[in-house]
Amino acid sequence: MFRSQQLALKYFAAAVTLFGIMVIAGLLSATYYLQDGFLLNKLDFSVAKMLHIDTMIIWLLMGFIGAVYWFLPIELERETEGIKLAELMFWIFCVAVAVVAAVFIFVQYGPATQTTLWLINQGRKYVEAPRWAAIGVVLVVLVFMYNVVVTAVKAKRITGIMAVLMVDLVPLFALYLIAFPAITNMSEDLYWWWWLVHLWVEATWEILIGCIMALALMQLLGTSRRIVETWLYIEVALVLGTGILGLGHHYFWIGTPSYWLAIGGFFSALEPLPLLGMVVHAVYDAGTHRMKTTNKPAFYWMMAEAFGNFLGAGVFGFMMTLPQINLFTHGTQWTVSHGHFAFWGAYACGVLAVIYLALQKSRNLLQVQGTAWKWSFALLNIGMVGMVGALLVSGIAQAFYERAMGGSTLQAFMEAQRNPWFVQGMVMRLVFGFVFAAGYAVLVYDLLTLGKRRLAEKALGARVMGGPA
Amino acid sequence: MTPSELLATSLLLGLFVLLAGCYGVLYCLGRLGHSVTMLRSSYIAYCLQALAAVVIAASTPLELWWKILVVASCVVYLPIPPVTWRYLESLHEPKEQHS
Repeated sequence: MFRSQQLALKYFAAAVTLFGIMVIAGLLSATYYLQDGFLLNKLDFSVAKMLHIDTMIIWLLMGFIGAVYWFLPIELERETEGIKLAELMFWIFCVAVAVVAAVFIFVQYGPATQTTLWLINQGRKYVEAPRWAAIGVVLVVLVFMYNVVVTAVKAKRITGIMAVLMVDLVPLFALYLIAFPAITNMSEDLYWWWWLVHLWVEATWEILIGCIMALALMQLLGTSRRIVETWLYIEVALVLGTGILGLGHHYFWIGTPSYWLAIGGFFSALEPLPLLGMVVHAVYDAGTHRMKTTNKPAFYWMMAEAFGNFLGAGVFGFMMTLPQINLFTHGTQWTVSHGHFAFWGAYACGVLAVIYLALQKSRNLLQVQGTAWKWSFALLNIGMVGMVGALLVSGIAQAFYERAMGGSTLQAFMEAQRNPWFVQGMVMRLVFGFVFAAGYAVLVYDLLTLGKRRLAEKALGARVMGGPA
Repeated sequence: MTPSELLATSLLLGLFVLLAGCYGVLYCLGRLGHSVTMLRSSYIAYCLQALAAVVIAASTPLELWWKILVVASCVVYLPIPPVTWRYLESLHEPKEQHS
C-alpha cells in the first residue's frame, strides 16, 4: 500500500471520529428545544450548534481529502509527492481541530477583541474557528493542492478527472479566504460570506465529490474511464451552470438588490434538473450490474447518495426556494430539514462509500460481507429521513403560524415555538436522532471489525474443532 | 399569500419535483426490465407531474414569472430520462462490444 493510502486511512479515521462528535452535538442541540434551561450557562445551545455544524464541515472535508489521497496513487501510478509534508499536516490538522473543539467547549466566547478573534472564535457562522486555526486550514488545503498538482505533473499524466480536480482545488482554497475579512456592514459581510458557504457547498464540493465518485466508480464497478470522465464533464457543466448563480437564493433577504430574487429563484429552480439525470445514471448502473458487486456497502452508499441528493437538495430545496415561498420559510426548521437531507445525500453518503472501498482494499477483502453494514445503512438512513421529516413538520408549523399568520413578530415566534405541531416535530427529531446515533454506532463497529470478524470466527471454529487457534 | 396558500404551494412544488423523480426511476426500471407496465407507469408519473404544474399555474398565488418557469421546467423534465438513458447506452456500447 502507498503511504498516501495509509494517510488516507488516517483521514478516514479522523473523519469518522468527528462524525461521531457531530452526532453527539446534534443530539444535544435537539434536546435544548425540548427542555428549557438545558445545560444553561454550561454549554449553551449556540455552542452545541456550532460544534454540530463545524464538525460536519470538517469531517466531510477530511473525508474528501482522504478520498483523494486514497485514489491519487492509483490514478497516477506513483506515490504522492510531498507525502511527508502531507502526513505532518494531517497531525497538525487533527491537533488544531482538537484544540479548537476544546476552546469551543471550555472557553466558549470572549470579549469583542482581536484576542478573541485570533484565539477563541472568529464569530462568523460556520467558520467560527479562531483565526490561527483558519490559517491552519488554509495551510492544509495548500499542501493538499501541492500534493495533487505536483504528483500529477511529475507523473506526466493529467487525466480528465485529474484536470477537473486540479482546477477545482483553486476555488476550494481561494473561497476559504473569505473566512478572514471582518466586514462591519452586515449586508456586505453576508454577501461575501455566502460565496464561501454556498460556492463551497454547491460548486467546489460538488465537483470534488464528482471527481471522487468518478474514481470510486472505476474501482468499484470497473466502469471505463471514458464513461466516468464524459459524465463528470456533463455534471460539472450542469452543476456549475445552475449552482453558481443558484447562490442568489441566499441573497433574497440580506439587503442585496432585488434582481437577486429573479436570478436566485430562476437558477435554483433549475438545480433539480441535473440531479434527475444523476438518479437515472444511478439506476442504470445498478440495473446493468444487477446490484452485483464485491463491495455492497460502497455500492449502496453510492446509490443512497444519488437518491439522497435528489430528495434532499432537489425536492426539499424546490419546496422552499422560490422567493415568494422563501419569504416565509428561510431561517425556520424547514431550512434545517433541507440542509440535513441535502448534506447527507450529496456528501456524507459518498464519503462513506469511499471509506468502505478503501477498507476493502486495505484489508485485502475479496468480498465485503456481513450484516452490520446493512443495519448501519438502514438505521442511518431511517434516522435521517425521520429527522428531516420531523424537522419539516416543525418548519411548516413555524412558517405557517409564526410567519404567515403571525407576521414574524416576537410574540408570533414564541407562540410558534409552543405550537403542538412544532413541539411534536422536535420530539420526533430527537427520537430519530437516536436512531441515527444507533446507526452511527453500528457503522463504527462495522468499520473497525470489517474483515476481522470472519478471521475471528474462523479462529474460534478452529479452536472448537480442536485445531490451532 | 395566506397561510393555507403558502402550505399548498410549497407542497405542490415539492410534489412536482418528487413526481419528476418517480418518472425518472420508473422509466429506468421499465427500460432495464423491458417492462411496458413500468414504462407506462413512468408516463403516468410524468402526467401527474404535468398536472401538478398545471395546478401550480392555475391555483397558486405565485407570480406569473414563476408559474411560467414551473411549466417550462416541466417540459424540460420530459426528455431527461430517455435522453440520459440513450446517452448512457451509447457510452457503454463500445465496452460491451469488446467484452
